[in-house]
Amino acid sequence: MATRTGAPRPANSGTQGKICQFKLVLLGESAVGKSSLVLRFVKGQFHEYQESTIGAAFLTQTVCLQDTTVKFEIWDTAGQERYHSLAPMYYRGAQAAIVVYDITNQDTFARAKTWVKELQRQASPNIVIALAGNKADLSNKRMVEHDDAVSYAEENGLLFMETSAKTAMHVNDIFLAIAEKLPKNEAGASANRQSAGVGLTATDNREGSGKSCCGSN
Amino acid sequence: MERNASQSNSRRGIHVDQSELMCKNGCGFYGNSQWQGYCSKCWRDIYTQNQQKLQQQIDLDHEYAMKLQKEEDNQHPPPESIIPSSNPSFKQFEDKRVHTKGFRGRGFKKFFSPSSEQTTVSPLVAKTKSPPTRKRQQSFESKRASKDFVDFIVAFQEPAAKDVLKKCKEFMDKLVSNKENSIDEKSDMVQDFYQVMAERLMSHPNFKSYTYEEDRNKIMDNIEKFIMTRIYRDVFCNDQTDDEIEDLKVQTRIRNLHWITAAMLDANVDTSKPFVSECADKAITAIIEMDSKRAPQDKLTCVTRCSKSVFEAIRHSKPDDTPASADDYLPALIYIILKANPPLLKSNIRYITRFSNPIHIMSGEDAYYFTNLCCAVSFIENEETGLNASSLSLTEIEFGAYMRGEMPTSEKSELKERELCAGLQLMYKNLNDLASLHERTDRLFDEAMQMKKGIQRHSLHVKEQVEKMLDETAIDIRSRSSSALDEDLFDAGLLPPPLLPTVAHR
Repeated sequence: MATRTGAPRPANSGTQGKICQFKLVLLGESAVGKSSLVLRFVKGQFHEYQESTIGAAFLTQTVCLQDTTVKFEIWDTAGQERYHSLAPMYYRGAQAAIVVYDITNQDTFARAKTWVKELQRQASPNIVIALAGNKADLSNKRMVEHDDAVSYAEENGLLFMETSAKTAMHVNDIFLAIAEKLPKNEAGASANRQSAGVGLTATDNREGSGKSCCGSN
Repeated sequence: MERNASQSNSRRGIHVDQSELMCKNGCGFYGNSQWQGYCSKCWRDIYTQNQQKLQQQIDLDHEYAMKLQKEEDNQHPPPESIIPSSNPSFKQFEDKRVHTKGFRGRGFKKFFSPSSEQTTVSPLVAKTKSPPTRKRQQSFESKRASKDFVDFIVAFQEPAAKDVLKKCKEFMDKLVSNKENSIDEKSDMVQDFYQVMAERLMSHPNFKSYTYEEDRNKIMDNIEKFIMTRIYRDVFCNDQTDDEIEDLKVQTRIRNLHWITAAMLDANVDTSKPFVSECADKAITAIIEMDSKRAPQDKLTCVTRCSKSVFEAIRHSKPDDTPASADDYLPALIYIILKANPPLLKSNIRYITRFSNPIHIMSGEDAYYFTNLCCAVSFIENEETGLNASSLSLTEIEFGAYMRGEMPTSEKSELKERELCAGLQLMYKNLNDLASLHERTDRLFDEAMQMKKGIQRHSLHVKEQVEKMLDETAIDIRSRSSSALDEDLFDAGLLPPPLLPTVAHR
């Protein structure tokens, strides 16, 4: 509901503060642990999972900040190179993105950089981008230096953390940091009225709006 | 006589009994299975009867709705006086409402009647002097939608129900009076209407009691369903657009790609497992079913159902029990779409994009699955950056050969074998065994024949040799045969004649 329907979101009784809903996309090479990261965040689990989880491709999770409740709607994307051209259809209208790479694999870091560049050029201008160096528990096989990633993130204005879906290190923190950084005012609700369509072609980028929130009180 | 009887018997064996061909009504004409065994005339009567029954039921509900409206009119001043007129987008609705005020009493009836009937009554269109057209038959789906909608409205609280009804009616009138608008304009009108209604539900005093989001969403869903079911024919796969051409293009493309296997796409769908193959079938059915639904949200439900089955299929194909991620899901969905080749795929996607309430396609689970469907279709139809040789890890030559159908289909037949059920698999295995047995028997027979020929040849050869040998040695043999001890003596007559007995002395 990024655009036209921004307004009609819930007028939740003002007592417990605002509820904001955000769309977050996960980008990154396949096998860097995108879905493990989300499963850890959503279910607090690494390998084992309950019967109810059929897929880890679309999940939601709510986090509470001091005065607001942020509901994440997490869209996983296919990481294989061959599907790269479809990515704009996923991150259209997203308010946040986590670009994941594997610290034991230099190539995935290079790929992450191209994702970041693309997001900065093509996604909504005020999208919040976080960079996650996953598999931090395997630091003995590290191929991407922590400092390199930090300086890259600083240059590009990204949130950055090294995470481990296996040990749960920094998993919740990175989502919380994103929640903090997301605009929770009603600026988004002013939604310019673009076509609400999800276009068919990957290049069809009519819609730029970042925006959001449901919290129109 | 007897011959005749036997003839008619044999005829009965081949043909259907005469009585089965006749109209079930017994009118003496032939019936047709297409008309459930009635002749065309009886079928028409029965059909209209059924339609009338349905119509009566709808009319009953209409009456109730009208009663509601009248009571409302008597009790309260017209609600428009309360409407905050600050919102400019309401203004046009306000104006129109004044316009149609004189027809208030007929409001509900008009609303639920076929749209061409509306045009003859509506003051807006009356101005354009459109000649009263013949009464258009409402389709079954439209009636059903009307009925569902009335049921829904009846369950509503009064001022709110009245308000929603009125707004929908006005909107339908507006759409009808702008019949020649382009599809994009219509899409904009519908989208504007959704937004206006959504805002109205939020802010208008008539809807004070609907504080919960779910309630309001339910109202919006019903409005969407009703409107879209009614205008479906006009806006789906519209002539003005190239939707139909695109549909055909995608269909042909998918047909040409029939040879693609799950392995080529890296799709984790192991159809040799019966449960997985069942899930795949369910997914295929769901995505094909999408075309038969009218309301955008019903179509989206089909997409979601398809996706859930895809996830189920992946889960049972994977060696470890980890939940499927998007890395697994998208290739599997592409594979399913290639196998399903759903009808009017592009039209359906465009219809949903144009006319669905954006809530459903911008956020939420349905939106995610719908986005994936769009991605999959975009991947399939795009030859440059989507489905091509390199993305399948084939060489251009191999890809071309597959596309022209020149490639050996070993993988295909292998795949087909995997897709079969256990019984058929056994049958094919037995057939294969029988075929090889047959071959071996043939070979054995050939060998036996050859052996026989060999033996014959051998005996001939021996005979020949013997004869040759005999020829060569014929003289000797004759000489030997003529060397009977006394032959020469007989022939030559050299010997003195045998002594004859003589009387020696008297």
